[in-house]
Amino acid sequence: MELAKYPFLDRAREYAGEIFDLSLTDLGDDTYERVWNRAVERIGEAIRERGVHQDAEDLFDYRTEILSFPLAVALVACVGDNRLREVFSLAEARRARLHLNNESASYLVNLASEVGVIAKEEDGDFGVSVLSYLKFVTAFKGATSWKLVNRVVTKGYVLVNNNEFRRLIQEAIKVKIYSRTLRIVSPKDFPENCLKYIQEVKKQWGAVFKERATTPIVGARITPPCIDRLKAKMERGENLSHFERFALATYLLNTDKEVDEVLEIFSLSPDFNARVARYQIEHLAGLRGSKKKYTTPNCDAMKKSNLCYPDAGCDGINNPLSYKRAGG
Amino acid sequence: MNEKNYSLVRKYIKQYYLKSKQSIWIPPPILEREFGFVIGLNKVMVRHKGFENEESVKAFLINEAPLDAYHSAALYDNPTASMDEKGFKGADLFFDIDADHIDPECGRDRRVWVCNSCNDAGLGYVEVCPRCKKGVSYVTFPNKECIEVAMLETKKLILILTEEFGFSYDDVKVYYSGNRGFHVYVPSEGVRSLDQDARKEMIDYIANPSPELDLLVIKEEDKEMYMPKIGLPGRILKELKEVFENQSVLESILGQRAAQRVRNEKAAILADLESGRLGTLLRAVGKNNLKNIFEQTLNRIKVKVDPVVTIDLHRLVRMPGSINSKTGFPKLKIDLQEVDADDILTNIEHQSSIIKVMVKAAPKIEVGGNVYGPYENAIIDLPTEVGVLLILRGVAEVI
Repeated sequence: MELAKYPFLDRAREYAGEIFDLSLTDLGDDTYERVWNRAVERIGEAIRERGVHQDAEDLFDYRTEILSFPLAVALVACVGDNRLREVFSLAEARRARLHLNNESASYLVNLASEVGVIAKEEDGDFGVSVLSYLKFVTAFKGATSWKLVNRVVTKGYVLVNNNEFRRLIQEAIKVKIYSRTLRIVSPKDFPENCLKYIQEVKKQWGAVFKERATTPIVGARITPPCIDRLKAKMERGENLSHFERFALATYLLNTDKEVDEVLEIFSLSPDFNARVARYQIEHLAGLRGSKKKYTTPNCDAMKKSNLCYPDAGCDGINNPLSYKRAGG
Repeated sequence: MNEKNYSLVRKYIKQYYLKSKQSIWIPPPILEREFGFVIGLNKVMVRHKGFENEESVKAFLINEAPLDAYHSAALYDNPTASMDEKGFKGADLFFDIDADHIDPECGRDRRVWVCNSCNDAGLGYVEVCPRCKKGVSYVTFPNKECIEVAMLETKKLILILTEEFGFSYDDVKVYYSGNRGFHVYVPSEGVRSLDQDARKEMIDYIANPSPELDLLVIKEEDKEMYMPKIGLPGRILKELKEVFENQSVLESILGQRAAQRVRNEKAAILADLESGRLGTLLRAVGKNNLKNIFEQTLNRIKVKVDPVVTIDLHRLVRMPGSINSKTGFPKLKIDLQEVDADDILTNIEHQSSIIKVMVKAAPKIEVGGNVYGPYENAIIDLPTEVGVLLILRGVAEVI
């Protein structure tokens, strides 16, 4: 049961190996159809809903749960699209996070160590080793409360509360799953009669991400390097922090992009939710609520959030929006 | 530097690598490090070199007598390949602390001006070259005061690295740079996977802490505000106490009148701070002043390291035990517990030979426990290491 919740753990891999003692090519047998279907379902839900459901019934059928995970990883790896990798690993990490909410403190510390977060219990809260903290927290770029200066750091540990600790573990899980999907898997590694599953995943992925990859983003060259980086990150399908999204969206809106254009760009985000995103972008554009149009954060704020990578065009400007004029 | 000067410097460097009891040290694994050297009269930087072991590095140093020698903080699959093909595997953590960055004023009274046009030189301050009326540059020299300034920062850094980041003292290696600063090098396995963003985060914490105080201040059930006595808030509390113990510092922040007003409450404020509480302080100075005080306090706890160096993963680091061509002194490992600023220059090794030089201008300098100078347009015999220092600083010539 435990491994069905956390099938990305090395222990789950060993377990699957012991029980089934199989490699990918042995899985063509009809017996495994159910497992393949669940693997495709995992990816499909990740693509459509940016999450993966898992209820008591699924957990009861724990063998399918455990083995469908590495198959899903193999399928994602085989498709070989970084944005799909991102979408899948984030959705799986979110699924696991829901289970984390019910775990005890000591269990969390153990699980954390299995995904590369060294931590200990600390007076009802947690201490995360500085190096683990720095490794994973950079994904939350720009989030003030995660900045090291806003933390108590002592004897090699950063103090975090229960909720923050689970958020960090979620990130570590995502990174772990993502790195597993980077394995090179070719259709040749699949049994003949399972090639259809690859096709199915490709079809679902293609339906959602149709043509998006080729959408040109922002007229090139006159964009400041900080925004360029955010753009590139979005194009790679990486998950941007709240502040990064805010900076990118306000930049686009203030350079005369329409809400729909911005929405199109943000749809590359692995956790994209059209309804919520539209609301937020319209809010930033000043079309809702306070009717206040937000401007792009100043260079100082970008610097503070480690998002500033200045070049010559940045000399003497204090807002990314001024880049065009200054840089020529 | 002309050929004659260079040939003397080269000989000095060769002698050093042949005879010195100082040994070079390269953080293992040597095979995965890139090496770089500044070679020859024209100071050509040769990069992308690789070596199998310390002996072969040493042999190279003796043969080539490079002006400067560096190894990469990074590890590579192919350290000798071009940058794109090296195969980056991770990098050690490195900090550079230089007196010139900390306090540009430091050692100002011991500078020498050198004319950019006619190369004339002299002690003290001039606006333009007295002889040809052209612009001048200033040359500084390693001296006790500047080394002390840099050492103080280094000690602050070491405290954070050990007490807060939890590195063991063995992992944190401290070096005198051979000029006016210090290098702190952490060759520990755990730091190698830290990417640029993570190092930037670390640097923000060390060199430029600007926390959101709301996030560090905790409100207790009794509505009292307090800060934890550990980590960065702990350092802030300690510095706050120092500010309140020093009336003149306090006046410079609050102005005379406000500083006088809080004087009566000083004892209560200090006692409060001792237990991490901020209530009395806030009531005594008001919210705006408290903000000012915090800002000044944060300024005082900044550790003045060069941020660019730490964030750059492909940086070449001066090789421990190698000669620094700014001075001719070697970069040396030191133990901060045992060495103080006075010892650094006193411990510079004497090469037991004498050279005759023409010194255009030099301030009083202390090397190897002896005092030399000040000199102006003097032809004198000097111990080789002192003569070489002056030649390398561009204020003397061999005759």
